[in-house]
Amino acid sequence: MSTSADQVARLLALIPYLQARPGITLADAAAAFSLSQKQLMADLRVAFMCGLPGGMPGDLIEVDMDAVEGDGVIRLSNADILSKPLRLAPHEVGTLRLALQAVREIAAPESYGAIDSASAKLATMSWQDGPPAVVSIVTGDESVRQTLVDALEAQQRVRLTYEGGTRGDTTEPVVDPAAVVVREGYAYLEAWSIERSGWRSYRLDRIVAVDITGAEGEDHGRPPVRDDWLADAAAEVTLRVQDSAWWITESYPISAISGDLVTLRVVDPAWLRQLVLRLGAEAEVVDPPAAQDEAVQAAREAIDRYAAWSGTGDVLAGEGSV
Amino acid sequence: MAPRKTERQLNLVIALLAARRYLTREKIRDSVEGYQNLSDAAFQRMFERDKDDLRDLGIPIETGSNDSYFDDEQGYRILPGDFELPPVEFTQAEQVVLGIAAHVFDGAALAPQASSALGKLQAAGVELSTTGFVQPRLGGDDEAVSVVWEAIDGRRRIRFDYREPGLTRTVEPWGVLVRRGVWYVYGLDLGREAPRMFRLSRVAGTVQALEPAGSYELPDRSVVEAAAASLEPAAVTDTAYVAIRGTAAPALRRRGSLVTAAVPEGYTAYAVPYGSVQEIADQTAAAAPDVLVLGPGEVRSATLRRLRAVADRPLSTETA
Repeated sequence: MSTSADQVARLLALIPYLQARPGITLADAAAAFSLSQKQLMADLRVAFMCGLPGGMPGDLIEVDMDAVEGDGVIRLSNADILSKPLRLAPHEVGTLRLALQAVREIAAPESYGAIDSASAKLATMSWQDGPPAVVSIVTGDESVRQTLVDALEAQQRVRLTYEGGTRGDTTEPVVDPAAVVVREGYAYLEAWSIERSGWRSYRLDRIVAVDITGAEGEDHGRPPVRDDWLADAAAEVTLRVQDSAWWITESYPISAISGDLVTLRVVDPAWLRQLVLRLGAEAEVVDPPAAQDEAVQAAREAIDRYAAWSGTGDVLAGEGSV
Repeated sequence: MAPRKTERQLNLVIALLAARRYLTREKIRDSVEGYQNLSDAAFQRMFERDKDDLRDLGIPIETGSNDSYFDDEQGYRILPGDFELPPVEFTQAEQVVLGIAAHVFDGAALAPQASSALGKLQAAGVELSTTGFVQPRLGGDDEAVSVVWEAIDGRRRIRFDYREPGLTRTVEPWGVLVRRGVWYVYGLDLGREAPRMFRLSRVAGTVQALEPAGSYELPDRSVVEAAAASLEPAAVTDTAYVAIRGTAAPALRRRGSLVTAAVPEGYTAYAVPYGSVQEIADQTAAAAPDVLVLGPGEVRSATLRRLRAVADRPLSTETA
């Protein structure tokens, strides 16, 4: 991502930044601007060639390239005219305010004040409002988030009351929390499970309560990055999907689409059973046929129960069109 | 090639910022490094493009003449007061949340916009700190996200093929919604003459931002907020009565309250508020047979319709 326009914009921030921090290391400056050191060097070489009209030595921005190449420190001077950065563009303000909205969705309530005031300050920094944007993330109760953040900061071991999702049972895992992350619009607690001696992810909206145990948490290093957390151990299941259920292709991990056949990656058979039951006539498993058995059996058992429980007459009659 | 262009544009910015008077084109051509040795036409073209590029970055290049009594040639300058970010001050707590916000778009389409903004803030003295405990991400890896975002900023219409190639829409984008990791653009569909919502993942090919900028006005922000609200589950208006077995279906149990009703053994009766029949029937069917619907009839029959469609299928051990 280095078009000329990006580079001009970046230099208009980089030059005042470096001027105000003489002797900053190449590594620190690169990190502050999310650049590789190579990119930053290229930027410095451009700055080195620029300055006031006239092009006389005293007119040009000075960068001590020996210090950069030899010691990895940056000294940039003679750029008084660029001592302050360019004001923020509305879309830049909008981008940061959108990011703050995302932070607010999963932050502890104690941070709301700082988030809102930072956002309000940003809003005054450009000449017009940024693009309107609204964010929602599936997250937990405020009190759950607050306790988790407190536990994270104090490195405390906690006991979760966790309504474990697809199987529907409630568990009480004791864990050392490591981070609150977001994947595909859902907030998760990444934590080390004491019982399992391993990293586990807990959906925040399924954590009903958090209790501080009083024990100190241990350092287990960093939780694994799970960008592709479904890749392992996933079975492929192909469904014939009607148009009305086509949304599943955007909501779930898909490995192939061919006509009306959609191949899903499935880790948890219980999840597939629920999906098939929910979709009813809108989708049918075609391969492997056995993948649908659980759902068929569940549906048959349910219908038997309805029949046995209140007599077939009034329950099975009068099916509307919803 | 690119470094030369960057150098020339940066030199132009510095020259215009340093100018106490409007600089004429001739003066710029003579003094700014990078414009020499060009034909008249080539210089004019290059200068126009540079000026447009810089204005797109938000650099306020002013046009005027030094002498208002004579029909002087037009010149250009940048007033530092319009150019510079005014002094900013963020508290320690604000810098912490900005430090978390700084990584929301890591690796996503809006990453360049975020780092550019953060670079400016840091140049103005803001120190970003981050705890690393809370790591929100919004996704949006698609190039379409940043095209739409900047199109709204410039009030440019957008054109794209939706769902399949050839089904072209032209839209005045009003705002962006991010719900459960899915990115939408909401705006006025000019073909249908009505507001529409589009999932960016359904765009076939690329989104094109159309010239000129400033083609329309944005409606009030509340219009976009109302569209976002329409994506949320319908407001709770009705109550369903269900039987839930044991500790199954915790989400339904938590939403519901205990009631007394005749239910099969091992089940407990709950009253569960719901917004739409579709939504509650999706949940009660998914949880079968651990959840059975007592009523109302429309929820029960919507649930049963889903179940019967599945129950009628052969098991893999049966012959169809």
